[in-house]
Amino acid sequence: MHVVRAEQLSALHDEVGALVRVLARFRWRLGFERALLFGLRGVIGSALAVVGLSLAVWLVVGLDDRLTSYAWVVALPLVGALGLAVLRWPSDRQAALAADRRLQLDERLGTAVELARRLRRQTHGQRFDRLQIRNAIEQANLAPGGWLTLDQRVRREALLALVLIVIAGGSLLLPSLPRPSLTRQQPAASSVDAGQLELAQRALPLDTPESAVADAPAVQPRARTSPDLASLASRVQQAQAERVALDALSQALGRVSAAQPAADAIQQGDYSTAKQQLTNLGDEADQLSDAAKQQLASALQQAATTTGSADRQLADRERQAAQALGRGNYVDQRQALRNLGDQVERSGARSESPDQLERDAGQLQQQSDAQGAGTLTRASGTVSQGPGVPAPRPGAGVDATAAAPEPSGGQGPAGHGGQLNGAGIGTGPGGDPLGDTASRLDTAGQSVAVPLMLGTGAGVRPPDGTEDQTGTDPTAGASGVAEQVQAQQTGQVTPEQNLVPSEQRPVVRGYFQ
Amino acid sequence: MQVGIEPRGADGAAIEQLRRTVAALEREVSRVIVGQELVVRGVTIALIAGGHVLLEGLPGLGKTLLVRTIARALQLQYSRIQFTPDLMPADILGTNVLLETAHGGRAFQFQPGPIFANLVLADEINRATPRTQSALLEAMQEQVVTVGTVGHSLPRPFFVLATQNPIEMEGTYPLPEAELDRFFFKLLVGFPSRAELAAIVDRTTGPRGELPAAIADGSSVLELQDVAREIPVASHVSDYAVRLVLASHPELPDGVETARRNVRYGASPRAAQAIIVGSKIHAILAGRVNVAFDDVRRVALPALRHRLILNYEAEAKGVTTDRVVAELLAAVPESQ
Repeated sequence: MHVVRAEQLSALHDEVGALVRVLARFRWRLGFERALLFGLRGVIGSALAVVGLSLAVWLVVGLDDRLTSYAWVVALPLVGALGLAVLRWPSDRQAALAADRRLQLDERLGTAVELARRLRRQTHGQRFDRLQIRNAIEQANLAPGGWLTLDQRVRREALLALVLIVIAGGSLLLPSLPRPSLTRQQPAASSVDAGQLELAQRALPLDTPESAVADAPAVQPRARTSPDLASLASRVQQAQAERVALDALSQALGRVSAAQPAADAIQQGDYSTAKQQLTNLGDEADQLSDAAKQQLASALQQAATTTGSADRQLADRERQAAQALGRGNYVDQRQALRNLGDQVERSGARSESPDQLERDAGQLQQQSDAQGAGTLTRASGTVSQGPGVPAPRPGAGVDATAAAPEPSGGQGPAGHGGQLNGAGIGTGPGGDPLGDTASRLDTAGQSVAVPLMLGTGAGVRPPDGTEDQTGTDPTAGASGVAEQVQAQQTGQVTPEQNLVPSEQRPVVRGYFQ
Repeated sequence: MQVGIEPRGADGAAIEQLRRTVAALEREVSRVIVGQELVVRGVTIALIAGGHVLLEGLPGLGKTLLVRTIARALQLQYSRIQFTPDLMPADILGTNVLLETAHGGRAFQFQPGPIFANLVLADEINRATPRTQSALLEAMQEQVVTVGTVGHSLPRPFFVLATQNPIEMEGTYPLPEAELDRFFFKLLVGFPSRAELAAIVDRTTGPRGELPAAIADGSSVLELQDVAREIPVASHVSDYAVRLVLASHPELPDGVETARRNVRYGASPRAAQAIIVGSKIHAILAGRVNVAFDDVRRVALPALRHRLILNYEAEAKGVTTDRVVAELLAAVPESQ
């Protein structure tokens, strides 16, 4: 009895030994493949390091002397990757599972490894353990397959490594080329400044002439802040448009009770919840009544029209959802509402929160005010110093640079009605009040208290949005003008103090003529 | 990969004996039943696993003939119960009757019902009321019948092969979930193809054919059951079967999307047991001594389709449990 048992144990251990030998073969094979893959990744990393170093040596003066001390940067990725491959060398079980999968052994080796482990622990196995291990070994030996399996991923990474090695080799030639001169970039910087300046001028509601800006050295440092302002203005405008689009969608959804949670979420700025709610609405679209679907479709169509170009993608999704709801196909409706939810989340992520938007708008307003005041002050200063710079348009008295040599009411060499510091009447011939302020002031010596075109105070844009520029008491700021505008609109000021909206100017002109 | 096992020693011979018996049984059945190879294979696997089978199909597709043929080929004691709406539990299980004793007195004696047989054909089981259907619960699970306070063991092996018409037909009662769960497999008997139908007509309208030969008996079936249960299963394979069952539960974190959408109650632990035991037999028939993922996938459908209870939305949309099982198989990865 004991002899039979000992023979059985011996046979079992023979089969386990044979299994271990088969697995060792698969472990080497899998480990080598893994090392190859990791090695390729290491080569890719090293090649990138070579390119980076070459660029650094080419661009930075004095680095080429210390190049050899940076060699470890190149070696590190390759060594690290190979080290990782060794550390992650496959175990018996991993090798067995991989062999089962690749050689289509139907989990024979994986099962055999478990049985062998159990045999080692328990010293006796179940009825079919030996048979199973033997069957696994036979099938593994019969399985086809070469030493290496280079699948699509390995081939792709090998190709990438090859390309990067070539690039790295080419980059080694960089240090032998002449270094790029940094001074060459100076004119480009100047041109960028000029472009930014122009952008800022367009963004700001100020009519500072280019010549004044270009000629006055004192203006230039100030103009460097203009790109920031222009960028802020653009950002605020975009954010406002996107917010309006989302608000329109929120209102549209709020018209149907089933979509109310989504509307609320958009209103609260919780766009991920809004997306989820819209997805839920899509899933339950088949439970909506036809009337509710029609109502939602028309509301979405309307929202799409409102959204328009402010957020084209959102408008498209709204339109698609409206069309799907109108068609009555559940799958289309679900997909369209799901797409709309995704787009809401994306648009929401882009747009700023209402608080941030408000802060940005406030900041923009403050900067605009400050910039306006500064520009007008500078323009006045130019006038007082200049011997008379020709105005760009004859009779354009609004130009600060078309300054008269006279302290008040004088005529410029080409422009009439240039004014300086205090009330006065121009005497120049004809001209439009906007482009030709002189005609507006052509009152034949009659004394009329007309707000100043220029002054030391802050400038203000007329409430009708025209290009006209008005001034007021030099000591008054922008807020003073705004108050006057409001007072005039409410009839609390005399016509002489009128700021003259554009549509009424012909009437006023006729009156004075 | 289907490769034969070299019959080395007693163990190899036992496995080879199982394969030969199954092949002979399928051959004998095919002499009587035309086509339906998958149904015959499913019934065979369930018999060797010691499980009961529910066969569903339209009337006239040979369900009853299949069961009779198997009983004859395996030389099993066979009894047929035709389920009708007026059938009572005592008509199936048996009852205590008052008999005169030899001494002139009277005593109750148990008269066994038709369920006391090796192979019980519960024909059109869903035509009986749920009360009568439930009479089978104890017998199917415990293989014991309790009448009054006395339990009576059923003969071994014991199989219930039940047939039912599709639930949409008139005069049917759906089987309770507890009853359904006791069936190892549910197999759908489909309509034969044109060639098969022609062969059926040819075979049944000509001279009477010969009866199926006996290829085994009840004791050899019990031995085969013991052999099948000893086939080893790797932990990662049994884990796959477990994950499949867990994935069918909408309330569990392992539940997959299709279960959350369509399933009210997921499969019971009996489903996992049925998948593993069925996979073992499928593995032997495929020429292996171990269970593969492929075996689990092959037996998952008949083991799970009657154990998933769909929700109202899925039933309203016409989603079938077969589709849900297919989606489960697609959603659950083999290795994690």
